[in-house]
Amino acid sequence: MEKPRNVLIIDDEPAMTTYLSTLLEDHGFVAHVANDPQEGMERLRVLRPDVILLDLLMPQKSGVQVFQKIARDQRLKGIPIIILTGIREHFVEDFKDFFTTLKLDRPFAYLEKPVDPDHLLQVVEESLSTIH
Amino acid sequence: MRWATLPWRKSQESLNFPVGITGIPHQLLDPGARALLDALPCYVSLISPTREVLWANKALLQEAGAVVGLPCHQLYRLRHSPCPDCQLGRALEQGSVSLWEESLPGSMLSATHTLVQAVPLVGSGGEVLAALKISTDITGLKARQRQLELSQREYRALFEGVPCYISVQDRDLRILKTNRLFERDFGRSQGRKCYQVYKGRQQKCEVCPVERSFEDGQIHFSEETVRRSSGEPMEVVVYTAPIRDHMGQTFAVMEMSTEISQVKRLQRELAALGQAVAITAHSIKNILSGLEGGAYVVHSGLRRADPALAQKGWEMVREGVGMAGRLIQDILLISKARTPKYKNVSPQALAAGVVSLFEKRAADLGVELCLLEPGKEPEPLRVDPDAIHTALANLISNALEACATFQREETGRVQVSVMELPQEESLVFQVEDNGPGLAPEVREKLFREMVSTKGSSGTGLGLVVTDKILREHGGKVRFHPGAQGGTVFQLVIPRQAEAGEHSSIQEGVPGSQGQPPFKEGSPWKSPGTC
Repeated sequence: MEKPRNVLIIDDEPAMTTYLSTLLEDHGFVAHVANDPQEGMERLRVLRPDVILLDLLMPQKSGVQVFQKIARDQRLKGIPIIILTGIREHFVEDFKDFFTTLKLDRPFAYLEKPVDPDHLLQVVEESLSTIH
Repeated sequence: MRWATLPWRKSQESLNFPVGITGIPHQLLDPGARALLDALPCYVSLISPTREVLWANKALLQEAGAVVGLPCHQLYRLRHSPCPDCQLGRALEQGSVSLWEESLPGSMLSATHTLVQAVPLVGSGGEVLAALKISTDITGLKARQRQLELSQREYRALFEGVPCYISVQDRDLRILKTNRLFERDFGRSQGRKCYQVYKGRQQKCEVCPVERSFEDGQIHFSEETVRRSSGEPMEVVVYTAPIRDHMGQTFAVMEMSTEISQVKRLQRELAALGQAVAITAHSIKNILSGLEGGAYVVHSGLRRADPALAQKGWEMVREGVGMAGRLIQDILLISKARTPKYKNVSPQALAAGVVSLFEKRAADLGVELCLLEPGKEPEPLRVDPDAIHTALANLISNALEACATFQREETGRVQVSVMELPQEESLVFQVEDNGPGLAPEVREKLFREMVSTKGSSGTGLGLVVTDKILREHGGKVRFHPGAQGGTVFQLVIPRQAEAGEHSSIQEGVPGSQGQPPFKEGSPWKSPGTC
């Protein structure tokens, strides 16, 4: 039997997490949801998912900070991260520079909200094939 | 009939004075003197005490023909009776020299205006024998004078009537002259410096178009924000032009300012409209994607025979529909010109109604929501209750969101209060939160753009709606940082409502607004969880 493919969704919007988890489950993934960054970090350490979907703008803590934490954690740094963002493209460009400056691995991909479901599934598949 | 063209008759050259003029000093009778008078480029006549022309010089004869023996009034004014305003009296009756201007609208002469000098000719017994009337043609001079007066009047009318503020300034930027409009809005300013009057300060502006016009003699312009003497600010476009003397040297500069506050407001409104369209499109995109997600989850729930999942999806769809409804309502509120439907209401009861609507939401978000009890119940207020309800609800909703998204030890708290501001003859609904406060860039934008700090959940139109409602009431929305962090928003509604055009949003400084007249140690009236 094929090994379950675990996806952790860290996003503060319940509607978004419900949608994404349903979508991923319908396509054979096991979806896990964290509605705030702190819960996200806790679940990450326990779960060690195959891929992370991370919202960039959360009120409690910026997704960028979460990203830094993961990228600097030796046990977690190999997990591909797909960043979900509602902000425009030039901001994404700024963030790319930001990662370079901090000498951090870049996220696997950026997806702009609202996400296109087919594109999301494709990117998730790609991220997994890169790892395995 | 003009006689001026009649040929001068030779016979008149050898005119003899009639009997009775023998007392005339002999030098006048002297042919040499007559020749001298004949040579003068003006009309000279000798008038008897009975106002009869005794002699006329060549110039007069050339124009008027045989005039000797005619009454003076007939020659000079074509009158059949003596002039009621006869000026010769002083010469003929009093024996003194007199000078006056005479208008000759109808006469035998081509001149219509003359400068007249009358000299009495006195006999040996001291009696006045005749008067020598010397009339110089000043018709051309008069015409030029009239033209000058006319152009001066026109210039004055232009200077005073033009719908701009005009001042004339010297090199030290001292105001020499202003027009009426300038004086009306900036007060009497002659002798004061331009920057004192316009800007109310003691230093000149860094870039001054008046100085530049002095330097290069060219026209310059700039856009400035100035203050009327009432303190009210206005945006103006300023043009400066040199005024030169006959040597071409600039000795003064005229500064002409036109108010463009309205244009600027329209510009900002247009920019805001563009922003609103972008935000609306973005909101619709978010709503649609929410609906799409919800529909997907419903479908998936049904397919999996999982009613709980289908129910979740259905809630998402309902939320999307609700958001679309709110968005449309906001857009309609902003775009429609509407007149408030005024009613007398109790402000405290109105606030209590709105606060009670948010109790559950506040509890869900873990934020304390309180309505302060006033020391004295405010008088009823004449407002459109539905509109003010919407405006206050927008402020409370914003405040709750601000507290809910701000993570810290202290519990989020939103305080609503109603207070009178007697010095402004206004009533204030105040909403104070202990959230993160407004970032400077957001504060800046509140004046001119639609702002949402709530990500996808806010339409960004709430404050615009609130602003419009307050404007319709002749009131204003103002805000300042709270004493312990967070933000204080106030809806200021005048007791005497008067609709205004300007944006109603004003930023203040902490402590600049009146503190609520709360009862000392009064308990909180707590529809919320306080």
